[in-house]
Amino acid sequence: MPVDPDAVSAAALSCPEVAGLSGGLVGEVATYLPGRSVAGVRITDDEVEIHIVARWCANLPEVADAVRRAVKPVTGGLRVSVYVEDIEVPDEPGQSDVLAEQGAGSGARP
Amino acid sequence: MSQQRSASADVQPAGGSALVTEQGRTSIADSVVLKIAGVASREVNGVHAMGSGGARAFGAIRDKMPGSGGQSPSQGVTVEVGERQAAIDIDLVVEYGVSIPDVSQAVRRNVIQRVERMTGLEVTEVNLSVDDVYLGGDDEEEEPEPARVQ
Repeated sequence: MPVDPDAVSAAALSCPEVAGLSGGLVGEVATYLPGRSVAGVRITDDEVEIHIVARWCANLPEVADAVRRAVKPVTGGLRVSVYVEDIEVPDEPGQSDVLAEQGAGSGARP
Repeated sequence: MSQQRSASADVQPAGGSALVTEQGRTSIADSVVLKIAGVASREVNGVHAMGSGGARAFGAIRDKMPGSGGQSPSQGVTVEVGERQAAIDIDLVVEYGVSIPDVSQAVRRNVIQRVERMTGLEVTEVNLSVDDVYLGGDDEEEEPEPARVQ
């Protein structure tokens, strides 16, 4: 297999704005391997799908771009589609102001 | 349908080009927009609760259950999300004494701003339905009953 799903998963998780990968409702979004599966990563002939849960941060398109940049070395030039499946809501409603004021790219939680 | 948009004349539409790129598509799930719109509505002063009667009653029961994690941030919000645009409907309860037109304008502005800035989706409309007025004191802050035995 030209694209290693574990490498894609690790690269996506290395982005600070990504809280986790999402396997969909029942874990159906995955790369199926002998004996196990890699949740949230689906690889087809011409595309790599990454399904993420984002942290509460300023700008989701920028998060998607960051994921795309992070996985670029391991996706072998395939198109990368990023699906933001869910977002982590801050506990205190006021907290969102603080996070939203921060510049994009520094939206990681303290 | 488009007159609702007028409230947001000061918000720059983010456009959809950030989401559909040559390197691949970015797709935002409904639940993401639901949560952002829910949190953004609650941030506005004068909004007491979210949801129509049934949703609030069910939410009150769920809140009492251990481990439920409190009120769902998306209660009272329904959305339709496309590739580049989103439409949002919100049910809410306002506090007694506020100006409902002013509060709804503020909610609409805040929801549009938050959703457009955070997701890059263009918000085509925000429909608000004010389901009730909170008069205060009739529920929630119940005094616990004094213990019968010392």
